[in-house]
Amino acid sequence: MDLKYPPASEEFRTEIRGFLDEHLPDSWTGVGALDPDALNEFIPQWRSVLAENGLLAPHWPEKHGGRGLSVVEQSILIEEFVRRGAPHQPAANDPFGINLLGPTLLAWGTPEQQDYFLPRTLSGEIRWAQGYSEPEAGSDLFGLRTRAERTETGWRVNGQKIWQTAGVTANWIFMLVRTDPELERGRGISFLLLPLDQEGVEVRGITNMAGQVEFSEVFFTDAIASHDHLVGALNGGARVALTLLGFERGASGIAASLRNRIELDRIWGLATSQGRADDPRIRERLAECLADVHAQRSVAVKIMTMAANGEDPGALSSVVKLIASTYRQSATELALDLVGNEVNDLDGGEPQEMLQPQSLGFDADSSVAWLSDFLNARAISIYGGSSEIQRNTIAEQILGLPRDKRS
Amino acid sequence: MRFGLDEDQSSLQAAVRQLFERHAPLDETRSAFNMSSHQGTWERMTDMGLQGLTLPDEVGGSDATLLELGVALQEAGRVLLPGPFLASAGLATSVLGAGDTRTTRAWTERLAAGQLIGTACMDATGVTVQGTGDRVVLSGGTGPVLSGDVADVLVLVSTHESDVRLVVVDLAAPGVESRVTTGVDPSRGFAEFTFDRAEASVLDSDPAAVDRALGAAALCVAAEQVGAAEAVLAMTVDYAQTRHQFGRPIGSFQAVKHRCADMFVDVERARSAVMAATHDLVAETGSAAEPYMAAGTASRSFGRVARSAIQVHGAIGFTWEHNAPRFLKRALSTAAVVAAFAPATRAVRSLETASVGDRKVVQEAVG
Repeated sequence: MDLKYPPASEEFRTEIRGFLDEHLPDSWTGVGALDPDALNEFIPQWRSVLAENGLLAPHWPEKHGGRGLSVVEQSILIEEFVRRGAPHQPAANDPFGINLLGPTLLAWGTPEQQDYFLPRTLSGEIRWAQGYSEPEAGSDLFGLRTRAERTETGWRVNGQKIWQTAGVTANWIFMLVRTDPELERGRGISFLLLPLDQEGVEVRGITNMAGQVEFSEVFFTDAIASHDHLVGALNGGARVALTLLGFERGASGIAASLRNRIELDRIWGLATSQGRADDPRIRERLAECLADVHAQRSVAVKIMTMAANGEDPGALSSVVKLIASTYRQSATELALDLVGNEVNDLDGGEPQEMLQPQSLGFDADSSVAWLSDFLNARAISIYGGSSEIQRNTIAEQILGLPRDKRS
Repeated sequence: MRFGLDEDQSSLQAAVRQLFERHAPLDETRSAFNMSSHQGTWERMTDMGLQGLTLPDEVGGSDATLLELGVALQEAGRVLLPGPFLASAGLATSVLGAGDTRTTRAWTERLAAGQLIGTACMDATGVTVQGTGDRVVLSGGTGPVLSGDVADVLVLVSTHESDVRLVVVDLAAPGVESRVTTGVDPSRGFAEFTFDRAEASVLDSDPAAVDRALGAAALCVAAEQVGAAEAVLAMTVDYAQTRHQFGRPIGSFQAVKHRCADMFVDVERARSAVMAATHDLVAETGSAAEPYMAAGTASRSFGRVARSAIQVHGAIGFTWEHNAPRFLKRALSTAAVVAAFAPATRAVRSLETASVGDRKVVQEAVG
């Protein structure tokens, strides 16, 4: 049992802290402290700084603009950024291009595809959305129906995708389509890249229950994708998709627990402003949250070290997601309990984040933001594999219990 | 970096597991609830060096760390080992570890040799300590103390305002009365002590060492709870796979399957937290509050897992004949032991506390 970081990693941590000291303003107290105008100015500037320093896609190889960082180094990088309240993936579409599509192209793409898409993804010229779910294919992803037929001019795509995070700002989509209707379920699907800016494509934002247009649906009516933009083998899309899901395991867990820890300081700040800091019931709940965050961090360290040692954490990622979704729901419930009757008299600045806790520096007293956090937390147990699916995965793959029967 | 047992720790785990499987298997210890019938196992444990795992070489200990002791306690938890191993090798030894070695030698040598049974009272608020210096006089009393029924020596953590003292009392001394209590867990005795001007020794200690020692003691209980939770989870999954109803294993129904998955999450959460906190205590990289966060996690997780186990087993899980309820009773008993680590593990204190030594309750949140 040895959780001491290797000396080279600690040097890297110092380097990253130095980078942040050098490039953040002296008055920096976290991106959460920026008002909307200041944020809009900061984000593109910051994104360029990261890209110039190979830190926007640090796990990509150097030749493609990254730094080829190891799992441990990636983990340190994200952790240090979170600690300072500096965004490490500043644009909303960045996680999809940098964490999902990029590594997929590196594993399955042709050199031409890599040369075309990777630099444009880094520059922000191409902004990606993920096209997996459909109205009739949520948990049952491989029941998807969007069709792609081979024509002389390219793949002709008809169908609909739904729930793309940051779909409204995307201009390209990577999607799973059915290329052989004779083959069932996962067998006849392919991984295709398609530009959204064309006649056969209509993107519609969807308003969530927090009143935000954070995701979208996309309708394809004879939309065209180039023959050159099939990734991996024809009808081999399931394999491509499954390996995509395996990327990034291990590097982001410690930072995620730190985000939760930072949020607890804000919840404590809220408790103090509400005069509830001495309430033993509140303190008990806060203490349990602290213990939970500690447990999250412990599991994250375990997974990071496994990944660093080349061991596949496997279904442990389902454990992480379950713990995270339950936790975010508990923490935001506590926050709303503290907000109390102000939920009927909402006040304060709009949230910056919808899929994560607010960053360091964000106002602890904005009931508008706490309500948004609470409502958005309800979705965490639904997206990215619902909690029911995660429990099935744990029960079947870890405990060896029988699989569900399907009709 | 590596999160998990190294080779030596794995060997220790295998050896201890084998010892308990042979000499204290779960099915047989149901009736072996007192020290005399337990004696053979106790001697074997002593021969294996388990009593003095964390004691220094020079007193006959194995000079190992809390990581190794945690491994042994986890194995003890798996079989719901009856007797004073947790109290003596875990609590008493850990707390004595904060004291000056020359003074504590009087007890640690015999503890390591399995000749002395110790225990610790973590909440001594009912005990008045009179005198300064290294000989004091005790009055008042304790609540139920783990394995107090068979202990020879009691270590008390006395906290008075910001003054923390480690007090050791010989339980055969004049002025010490004990009352064996009846508790929920029949596998281990408890006793309550009252003092009528009983003489005791104060150990020389520094606040940082006391902090670590109390944290270690909390993690000892937690390690045992983790082992027990793992065992009852395995028992439950096995039952879910073999028990058939409606023509299929009950584990093929989602409600049962999902409950087992939740149990696994609880176990994983607890064991990761306890291992990380144990590592950090040994490496001296953890915060003062960390052991208590992990101990709280382990306690709550074990409780939930034990309750869920009863549910999955159905009616048979509710009978005393079955082993599942023994885990629930152990969970109830140990949860109370952990809660009595007052003020250290009480919910309030786990919220950003400083050390027991300076008793600061809560720090202002970082702005």
